[in-house]
Amino acid sequence: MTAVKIIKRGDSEYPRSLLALKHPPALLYAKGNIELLTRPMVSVVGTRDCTRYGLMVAKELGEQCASAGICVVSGLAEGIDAAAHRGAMGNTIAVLGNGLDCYYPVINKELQDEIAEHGLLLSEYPLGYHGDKTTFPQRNRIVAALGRVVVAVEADKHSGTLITVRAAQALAKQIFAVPGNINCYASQGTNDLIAKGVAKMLTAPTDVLACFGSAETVKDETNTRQVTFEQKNILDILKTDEVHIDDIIVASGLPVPELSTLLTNMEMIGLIEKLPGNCYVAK
Amino acid sequence: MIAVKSFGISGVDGYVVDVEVDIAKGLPGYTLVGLPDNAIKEGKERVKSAILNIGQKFPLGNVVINLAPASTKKEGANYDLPIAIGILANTLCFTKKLSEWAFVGELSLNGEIRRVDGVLPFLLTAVKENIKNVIVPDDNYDEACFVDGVNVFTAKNLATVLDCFISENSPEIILRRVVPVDFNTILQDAKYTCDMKYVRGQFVAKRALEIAAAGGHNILLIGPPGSGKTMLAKCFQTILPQLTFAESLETTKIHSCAGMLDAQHGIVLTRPFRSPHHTASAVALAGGGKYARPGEISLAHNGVLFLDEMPEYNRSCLELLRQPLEDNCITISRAAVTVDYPASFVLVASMNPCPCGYYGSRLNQCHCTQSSIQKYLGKISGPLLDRIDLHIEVDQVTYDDLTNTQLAEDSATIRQRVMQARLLQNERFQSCKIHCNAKMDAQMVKEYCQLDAEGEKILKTAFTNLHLSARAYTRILKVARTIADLAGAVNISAANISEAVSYRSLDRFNRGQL
Repeated sequence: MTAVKIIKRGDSEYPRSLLALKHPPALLYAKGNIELLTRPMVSVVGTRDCTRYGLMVAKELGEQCASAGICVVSGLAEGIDAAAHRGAMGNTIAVLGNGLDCYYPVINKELQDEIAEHGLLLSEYPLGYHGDKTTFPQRNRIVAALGRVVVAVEADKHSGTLITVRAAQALAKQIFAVPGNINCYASQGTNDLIAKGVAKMLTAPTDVLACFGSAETVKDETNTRQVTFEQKNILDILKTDEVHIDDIIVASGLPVPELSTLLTNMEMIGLIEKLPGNCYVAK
Repeated sequence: MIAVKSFGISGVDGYVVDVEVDIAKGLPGYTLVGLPDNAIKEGKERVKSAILNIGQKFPLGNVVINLAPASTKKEGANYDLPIAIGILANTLCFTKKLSEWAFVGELSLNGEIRRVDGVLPFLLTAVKENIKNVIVPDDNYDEACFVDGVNVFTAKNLATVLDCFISENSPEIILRRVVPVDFNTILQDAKYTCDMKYVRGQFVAKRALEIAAAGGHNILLIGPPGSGKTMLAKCFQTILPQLTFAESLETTKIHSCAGMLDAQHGIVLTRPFRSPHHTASAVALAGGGKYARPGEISLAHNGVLFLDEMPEYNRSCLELLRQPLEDNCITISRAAVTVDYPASFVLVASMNPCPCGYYGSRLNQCHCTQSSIQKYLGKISGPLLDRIDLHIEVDQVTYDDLTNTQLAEDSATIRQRVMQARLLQNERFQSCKIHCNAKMDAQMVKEYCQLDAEGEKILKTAFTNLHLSARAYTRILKVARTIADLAGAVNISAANISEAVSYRSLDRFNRGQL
């Protein structure tokens, strides 16, 4: 188990970006790989009540940033936050609104332990403190301050994510928002940010990488992978969107036993992914 | 003293009860002993009125009636007729030997004989005990048609029965003789109200149900409200193999004891489909009561037990399913009795994927938090989940599917394939006590579910790459065995394993993680 380290304001490890805050934390409790604080950082935030699309974007964004050497900062909440951390595992910082030895939400317990092991946990609250309704919005200012760039993945009109965005605005950060379906509640806040010019539209994870000067795109592996004729057929059906298995059956014309076998095999070698509700999506 | 034979019920099996009637000299009295319940005690008055109303004399003397064996509690009104016959035999001169006859029937005050429950188990007991003739109520005629080896007569009232015993004519002339019916002819009448051909879309769910029917596997349907889970479950009984005569008798016995027999046929022709409401008590499900009665799970014997919205059931009710799912029977212990009820059924359960119902739906957005989803799923315990081989997710059907006029495959065609697969299993399990793949124990799985190298490899990849839980292992093997049987294959192929893996949704519900 990693020990908890206390970083005081004025210590060499204390992130200088936090000094720009109106009320920078006097103490930071840190658990994990402190070296991460020296890396360039991007904050990825979003709502807890998110959609699959949001989860997918957050995870992908986390993955690409982390592999480009950019540390992904988020708040370890359910939904978008957790997905971003998971994508960026190994190169991610979670800022908590409670003591480092407490778990909130409990569902992320495993994730929190994993980040303590392979990333960094930060909190301005003492050990044993469970947090309350004010501490979580408070930690959002730290999330906003740490990243050089802030990305809002999904947020409805009243989401706490907008608190982070406002804090980032005050700090004059570069803000991105992920555009979404205009009829989707979870994209109303983020689309609004784009419409008002508060945030730039994020069209691809590379937009973020460009801000850090590392514009190298991660290679698209799909084309290089060896696939059989049947697998290619399925990948074509899944090209645009997630598809329910019944629709795949209709589109491919394969009988159920064969298709089930084929899909499971493709899933096992990582070509496609099964989503809850018996939908499939290409990876 | 006169002894008249009748029957009692213990569990779902009958036993012979000797109704002894003695009329001693002395002050008039009328006593009934032998642990009768209230219905039997009150029968004294019915018998007295009935005897008087058919124009006979009620004996003046001390009438003592004993129901032997005296230590067993007896219930029901079926002793009215034997008691009346016993009393009349004391005063009148009977032309036939009473020891060759047995009687069951409730009397009305004017001597009519009313319908009783449990006639089928009574008659089976009569065959076992070598009783030559039995008289049952005329209303129970249909139920009596299926027993061979005993002469069954029906009568509408006490006067006719008495007539038969005081006249010299053979009973056929006075009473109605029950003509045995061939089970297979009447089986043609088996009608189901639903058919798989009316189920639109849901290809995967149908395939999974076919596998469940072929191997007798328990199945869990997970889906949002309105996705047709109940309809699929109802259609499930239509693709199960036809009841055999032996199975039908077993099921009829239970339904007869519970007084739930379909009056039209007198025998259960279709596999029962029981769907107890989620507020059902443990006793309603398992059976029990002051004098034990079969519960829903026994009424579903040889058929389907459907638990709609499974997480809504009382936890203790769900847990009691564990023993019957393992042993195919349930033991009910009460102060008065301990009985075993058969309970061999296929469990079809349905549930929503989350409290709001729409997690994973194409058409609606779910707003549940991960913790509330996990809490919801946690309502079904691991041990119970362990006994369910197939989990399948169903989604709402789109408008296009609904308006599609093309009919799907009908139940009869699917049933044909199911029966083929069952034939293979019957052959395989000839020497064992079981008859379908789902009931295999660890030893049998080892023997009959051997994998080739490629199959092993696929299964290993599935476990590591798809994060299956350990409990899935034997389930997948059993299901793969059934899939191979459906294909008529001797060995389980790698493709069979892959397909079986795809029906284990719940093991892989990594909620919130893509």
